[in-house]
Amino acid sequence: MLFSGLFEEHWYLHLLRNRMRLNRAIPSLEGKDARETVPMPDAMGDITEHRRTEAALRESEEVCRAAFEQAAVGMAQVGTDGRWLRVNDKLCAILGYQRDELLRMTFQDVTHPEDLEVDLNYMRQVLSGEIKTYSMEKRYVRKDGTFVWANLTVSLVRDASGAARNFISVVEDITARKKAEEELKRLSLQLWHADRVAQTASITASLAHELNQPLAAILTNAQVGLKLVADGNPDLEEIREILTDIVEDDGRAGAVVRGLRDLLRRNVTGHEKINLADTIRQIVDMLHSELLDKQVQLRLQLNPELSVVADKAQVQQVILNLVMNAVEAMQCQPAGQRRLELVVTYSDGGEALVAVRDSGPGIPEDLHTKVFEPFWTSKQEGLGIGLVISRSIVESHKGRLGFANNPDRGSTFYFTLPIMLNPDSERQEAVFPDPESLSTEGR
Amino acid sequence: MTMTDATVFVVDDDSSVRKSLMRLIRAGGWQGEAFSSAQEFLARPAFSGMGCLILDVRMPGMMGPELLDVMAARNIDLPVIFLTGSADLPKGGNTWNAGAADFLVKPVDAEALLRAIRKALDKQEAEPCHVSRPESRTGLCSDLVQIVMDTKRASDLCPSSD
Repeated sequence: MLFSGLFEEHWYLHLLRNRMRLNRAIPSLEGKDARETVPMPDAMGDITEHRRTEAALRESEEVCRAAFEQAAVGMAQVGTDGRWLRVNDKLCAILGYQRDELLRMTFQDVTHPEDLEVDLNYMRQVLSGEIKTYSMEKRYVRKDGTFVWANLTVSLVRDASGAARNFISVVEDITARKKAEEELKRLSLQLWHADRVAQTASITASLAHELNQPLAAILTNAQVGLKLVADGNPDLEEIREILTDIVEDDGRAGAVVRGLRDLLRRNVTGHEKINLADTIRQIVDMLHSELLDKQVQLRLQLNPELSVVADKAQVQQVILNLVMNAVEAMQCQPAGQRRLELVVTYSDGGEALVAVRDSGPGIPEDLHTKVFEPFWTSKQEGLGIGLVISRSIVESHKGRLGFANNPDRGSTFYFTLPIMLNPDSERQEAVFPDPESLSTEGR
Repeated sequence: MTMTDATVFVVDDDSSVRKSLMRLIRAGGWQGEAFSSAQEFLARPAFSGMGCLILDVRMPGMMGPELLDVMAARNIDLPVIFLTGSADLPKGGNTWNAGAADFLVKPVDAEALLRAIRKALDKQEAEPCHVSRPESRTGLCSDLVQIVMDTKRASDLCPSSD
């Protein structure tokens, strides 16, 4: 019945399109249909019109049904309570469930717990009419327990009175893309880490010195203490002072080790709130002896208020890169004229700005485009990827890295980072699964 | 010999190290005077008594060996004990001994430093004018500066020992 109807309609529409106002081209397989469509001169126009509408409707329904069933993406009608009302084969395949199993479940049942809240929020907004449709990347939990990444697009169907009827969901499997992205990210992190290790290795002597100073003081203090005790009748107040100093110097040595560990940390612990002035000070402390050796005078102008959400080790890596470049660039200047300035301030756009200003020769005009090219370097040592990596790190934090020659002498390399406006609540509000979305909060 | 009348000067930019050295000097029975930079030390009124100088090699402003040059030029007659954080300066120290009384690597053993101080004071008593040889001193100091600058690349050299 359906088949014959379809068959007939197709011919009918085909003929219509050929401006042949004939109702019948071939006999129907069923007499009933044939009787209905016997041409009647009086009613011919009406019937034609009626049939045309009906046929078009039926065809569009069929097209919809075919599109729904055979779509290359998962499709579903979902109740306003989240229940799957109708699902296509592809969706069953994506989620790994049989159709009848899915129809007894809700989308909440198969949504990754970390992505559920965001999805429900959007859903509420659609229901309330705030937004008409939404699209998000989310994870579903398949029947076998594995995750599948999907791009979900949802719109709401309302009835004639405007009441919500059901959602139409389109679910596209993006696991392969996500895997590729994750692989790329993993490789980037490895490269960044390798650069961080190389950077740290280049300041080993400085780090050793920073560690050695408190150790030297501790040893001397402890041995003096022992001597005082051995000599008999020690001044307890002096012993107390000695022990206090030992504790303090131990803390100082510990800070160097902690800083080193932070910098060499392989696994990214993700973004956290960091104070830029503190972050820079920690790096500068590690570089103290390096700057002494290279006879560089350091000036700090650090606004203590500026905090950002970022990966601390990566931000320190960028600062280390820029500072070591600046130190290197100034070696051609006489010892008394090597001035390095580190600035933390607000950018014109209201972002956090970190600037590293040197008194070196500046960047010649013809090299302005070259400095960010991989493997280009003016230095004797190094691969020439420090600036490229620094730029990609800054951009992954939604910031910018650039440079300008100073009006007087030398150049300034700077980078911006989005500022955290709500420093005390960023952790609780971090509902988005993507860590990068955190850094954009409060923009 | 009136050892306890002697003054031991300390020039080191690290306040923790300075403080601990002053304690050691007092425990050894001498007077102590500490300075955070070479310039600060040079600004001190002339000293004519018995003493010696414990000098950090790497400091901001003026490095230890540079101070030695200035002292020679000004005929400041004090035996010097160098302290450095780097363990990779050449062993032997024949050139060092021409000017510097001793050369010790931080962290330095308290007994070794006390011995070095005693030795320096003895030496000053025995040949009080040994420091005033500016010509040889200048040569020594430029060598010294070079050595200090090269310490990072000289990691294959034997550490000096005390």
